[in-house]
Amino acid sequence: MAEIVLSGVSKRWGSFVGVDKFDLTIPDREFLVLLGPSGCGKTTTMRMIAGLEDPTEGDILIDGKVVNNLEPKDRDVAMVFQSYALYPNMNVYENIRFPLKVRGADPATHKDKVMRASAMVELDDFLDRKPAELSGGQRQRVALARAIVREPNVFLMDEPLSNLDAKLRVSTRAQIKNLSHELAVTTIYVTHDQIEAMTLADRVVVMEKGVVQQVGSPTEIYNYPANTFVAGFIGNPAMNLLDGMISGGVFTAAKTEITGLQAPDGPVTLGFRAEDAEVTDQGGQITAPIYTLELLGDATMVSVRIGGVLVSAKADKSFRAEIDDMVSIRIPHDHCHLFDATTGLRIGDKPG
Amino acid sequence: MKHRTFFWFFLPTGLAMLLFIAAPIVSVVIQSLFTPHEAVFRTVESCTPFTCVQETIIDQEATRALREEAPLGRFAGLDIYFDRGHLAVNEVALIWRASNTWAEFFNRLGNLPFYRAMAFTLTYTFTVTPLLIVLGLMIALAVNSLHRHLKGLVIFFSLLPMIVTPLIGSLILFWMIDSRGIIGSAIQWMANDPGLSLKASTGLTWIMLIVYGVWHSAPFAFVVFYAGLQTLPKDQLEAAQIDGATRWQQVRYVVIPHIMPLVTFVALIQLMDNFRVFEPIVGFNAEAHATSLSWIIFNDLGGETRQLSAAAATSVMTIIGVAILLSPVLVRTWRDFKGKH
Repeated sequence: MAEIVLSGVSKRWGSFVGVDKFDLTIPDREFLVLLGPSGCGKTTTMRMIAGLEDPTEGDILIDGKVVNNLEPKDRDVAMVFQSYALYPNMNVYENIRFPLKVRGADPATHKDKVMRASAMVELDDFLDRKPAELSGGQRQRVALARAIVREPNVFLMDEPLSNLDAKLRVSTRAQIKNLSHELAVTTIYVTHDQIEAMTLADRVVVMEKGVVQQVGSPTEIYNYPANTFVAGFIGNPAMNLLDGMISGGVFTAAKTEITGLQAPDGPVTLGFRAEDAEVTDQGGQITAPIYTLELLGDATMVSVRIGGVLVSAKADKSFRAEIDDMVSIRIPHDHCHLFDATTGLRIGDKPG
Repeated sequence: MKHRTFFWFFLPTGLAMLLFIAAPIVSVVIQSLFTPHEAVFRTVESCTPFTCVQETIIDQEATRALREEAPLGRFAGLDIYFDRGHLAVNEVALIWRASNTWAEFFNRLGNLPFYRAMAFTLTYTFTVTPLLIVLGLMIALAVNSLHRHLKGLVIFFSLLPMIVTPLIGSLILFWMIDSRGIIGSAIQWMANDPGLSLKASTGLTWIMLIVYGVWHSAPFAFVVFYAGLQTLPKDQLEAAQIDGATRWQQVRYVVIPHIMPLVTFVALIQLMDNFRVFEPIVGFNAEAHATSLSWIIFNDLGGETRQLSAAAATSVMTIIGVAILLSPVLVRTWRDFKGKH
């Protein structure tokens, strides 16, 4: 049982702002993902919760208790590091057992607990090996087992999958999802990979330059990005963003005209997702020559150049054309997102 | 690298090693197997008007001729190694038979110069080496946790004992422990015994030499460990903190395993160095209470009669001693090396 509250937490190094006034309540058993590009302050936030970094201002509460001045070991958190941080001189068994040993848990219970944790991550066959004799995925599982063996109140995971190859990342991701369901412990997970965030999270916090951009469920963040940064960060490919003018509900930009929008007249940024658009021969809202054509297997991605930016639309997997052929992209107006041209903030609650 | 390239690359070093290391060792080994020629005696009859007397005199010419003909001396095999000044096998056998208890045996053994020197050399080696490693590690950990502005200054002062020439260092300490020196007087005052002299007691002299040895060598260990601490894996330390390790447990389970190769290195170098302890014995004028193999060599060579063969034999035994001391570490290193490949 642990609810984590961050209230006005900031971290500054001199004049550099790492994290700026972070406010968030993480309810018990929630799987929260901190998502953002590198240097956005997500890892710093997690390290402040762990106690490895002191907040410059603000309070961190775990279970209703201010923990700002507590040592990491007294916060009852467990952490999985990006580099795994296994102890190279100990074998797998000793690595997993280490938290129990240094915390003085009853030695008679060690074996049971270690075996249970190692069974959860399927490491039973490797208990005698040293970390150097394990593959990346196995090391990662040792780090997980070391974190769960103590049954902590809070799990912290710092990009645990980023050192794995693509295939292993998918299977380990599934394993983490299953584990977190089984353990039902508050988990904070840091990643720059939006697919990990979408698949794992109960709630996602998108950060940029130390500032929280949006907090919400993966669906909310995907469907209603709060600003152009989130829109451009989430989704693969990211949302297409076009700068243009709106007047009388009609959005115009180079080679583009979309009607039926509701927004005050003036400059805006319009966004839409590639999979919401449709590629046709004519009659679309954007008409331009093909800049590039990418075959993805399950679909064909068609890109055109509008002004300085590339705009992509997903076509059927059988769609074929040559570069420089003219295409027309049809964008239903109720799938368009509008953002303020200067602040980048979303206009209106819903698409369209 | 191709073998041929390696050969030419290594040749100058190899030649220098042959010339300056291998050749002297071979020459010392050979010298240790020969003993100086005895003088050639000649019986002459000198007659006075009354009587004739037979006299034995040294034939200087013949002796010189003999020494010039075979400058190494007379081949003696391993005799020198077994004589009274070295391993003293006959004497040891006698003492063994005559002694009833172990204590008595070792007590008498201590009267033989070689065993007396060995007793001090080994005690010195096996107390100084671990102590200086522990002290060096403690200084390194302390300095590493200092604020960076202070570090430079503290490092400089920590290194001073190593910068000071050993002979000078030991002389300064020698004067300080003199009964009129600051440490000597302090000890007299503390023990409330005006007659107490560090230099007069064998036990205290040994302790003094050991303290000096640790003081002199700890900076070396400190520098090596301090360098090692700069490469500490930060993630592992943080993981240990979160796992619940105290500061001491972090040192025990993360820091020490990380710098273990350096500990082995320092142990190797210092075992070798301490086994050849020499300067402090001379500096402290402590020959009466403590001698070492190196001191015996110095003594053999220094006298009026330069006992080259005796010194050579002691040298060879020193080399063998060092090899025996280092063998466990070397064997382990070799196993690790083979294990990795």
